[in-house]
Amino acid sequence: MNTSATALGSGPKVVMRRPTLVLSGLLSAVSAMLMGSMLAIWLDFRSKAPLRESSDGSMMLRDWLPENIKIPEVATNTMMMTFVITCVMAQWAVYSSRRNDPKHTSLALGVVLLTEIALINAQVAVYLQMDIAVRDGSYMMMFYAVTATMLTMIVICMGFTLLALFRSIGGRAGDRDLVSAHALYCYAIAVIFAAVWFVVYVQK
Amino acid sequence: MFSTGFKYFFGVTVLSVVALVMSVALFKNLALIGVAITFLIAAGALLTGLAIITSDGTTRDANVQTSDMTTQSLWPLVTGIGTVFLALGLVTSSIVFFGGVVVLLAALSEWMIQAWSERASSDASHNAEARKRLLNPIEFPVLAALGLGVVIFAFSRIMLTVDKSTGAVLFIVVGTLVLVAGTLFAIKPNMKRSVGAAICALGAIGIIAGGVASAVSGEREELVLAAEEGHFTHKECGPEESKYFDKLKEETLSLRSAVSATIIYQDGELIANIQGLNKPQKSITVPRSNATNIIFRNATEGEFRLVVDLGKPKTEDKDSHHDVDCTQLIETGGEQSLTLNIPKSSSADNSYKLFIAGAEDKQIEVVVP
Repeated sequence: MNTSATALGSGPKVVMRRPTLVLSGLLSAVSAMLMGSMLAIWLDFRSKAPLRESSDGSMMLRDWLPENIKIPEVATNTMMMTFVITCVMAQWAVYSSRRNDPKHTSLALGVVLLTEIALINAQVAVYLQMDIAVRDGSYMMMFYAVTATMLTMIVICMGFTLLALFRSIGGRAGDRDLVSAHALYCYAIAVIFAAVWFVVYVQK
Repeated sequence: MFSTGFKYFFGVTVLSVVALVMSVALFKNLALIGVAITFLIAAGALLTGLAIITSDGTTRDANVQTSDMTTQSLWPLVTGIGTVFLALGLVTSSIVFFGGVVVLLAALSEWMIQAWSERASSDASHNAEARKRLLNPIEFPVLAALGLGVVIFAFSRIMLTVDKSTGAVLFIVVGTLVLVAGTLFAIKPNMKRSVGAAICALGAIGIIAGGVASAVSGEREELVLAAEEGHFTHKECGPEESKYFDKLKEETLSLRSAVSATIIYQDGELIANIQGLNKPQKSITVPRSNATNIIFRNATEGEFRLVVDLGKPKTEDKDSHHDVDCTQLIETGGEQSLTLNIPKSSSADNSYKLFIAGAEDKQIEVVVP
């Protein structure tokens, strides 16, 4: 009697190629679509707002931004410039990582972290200077919805930076995939913020 | 040369560009659609670039075996749809949200098991069998329940659209067709599978198409009027006969347990017979915030209804009408029950009473301690 059983060979081992970069790309696409749809609704609301005369009576304006609200443009423009620095530093981290230079990788990621803290600080300053409440009207509600979503993206990026920095300091010098993925997300939220900055803070 | 992911995202990007160009040409207000499509183009272009750089994130070239063993899967797409439902549900309705949760969990489970089965062994047919053995006992009942639900829903739409007499005929016709099809399957067990599948598919398509067409055309006029007027949602407590509320009235009671009082309209007088008291009463006591059953019996010639005045509702409007509840119009000798549930105690400013519609002077006080 034959008691032996036929054994099948094990299946192939799946080895992903640059999974962190792919994940970062997907996260960037999702963030872009989320913010894109919010800005689209923002612009739609603005275009449908009723007309009112300007304070000097010389022209008709869309009654979207309440007259008593002043946007602190210094802080918002500083945020835009800070994002440029963030992107440059993130790219420096990629450059250093490719050359197996953990010191400069860590330094660059540290500066990125610093700029992200500065961005959060600037956003909080904008909230404090504007001093508006969420329930005061549709503008206020949408303002907080858009900017708080942007703030959340910055916080996520900060978490990403902390992770990359921790691994870099821990000696993972060849962790290029993670650093590249981090840079990709930084670029993505910089572009997204540029759109928010233009629509919410410049065009208002 | 070009990976599947690249082709897909490139196609999405190109189509988005075409959509944007068409939007610019066709629409005046581009605020909503223009910005949304622009961001879609950006996201599509980003993912196209990533698909090129990472070759769809797989090791297709490095490990030929992997691409041989893996099959194309629908579940990532379904997972994405579930996630969208989840997000939409947060701002629309709980049904969409919970639908998203169900879709997401189902798709993730399917996806994980498919991924596991593709690496179960080096034999693709064994792997497919492993997947089937694990998932088919769950998939088939769920799919059957879903299919049945769709057919029932579609048929309900049809029945709400066609008029009552046509509905009856339709029921007979569809029932006959189902019977004929069932008989055919029974007497010809060796019938080709394709013929059986075609009969089932035709039937399902017919019902679903009919359901969709009916849902688009809307419910029949009398149902629309009923929904607008809401005569199934409130009682009409006047002395006159109500067209809807008094339809098919019940005048005999089968269940007489837990009755607090029997209110009788006798010889033009309204009296209350309360258990434990020999004489008829002109007031009854009802516990607060408790369901209390009373029976109304009409012992006077004619049709009458018993109405309970529940005072003014909690509103700032001083001119608001009193809340009332009532029985249907009851013929002589008939009786009907009424359940009272009064959440607030009675007082000088807030009194409750039972009376006969059209004869408000015939009343019984309702005391709520």
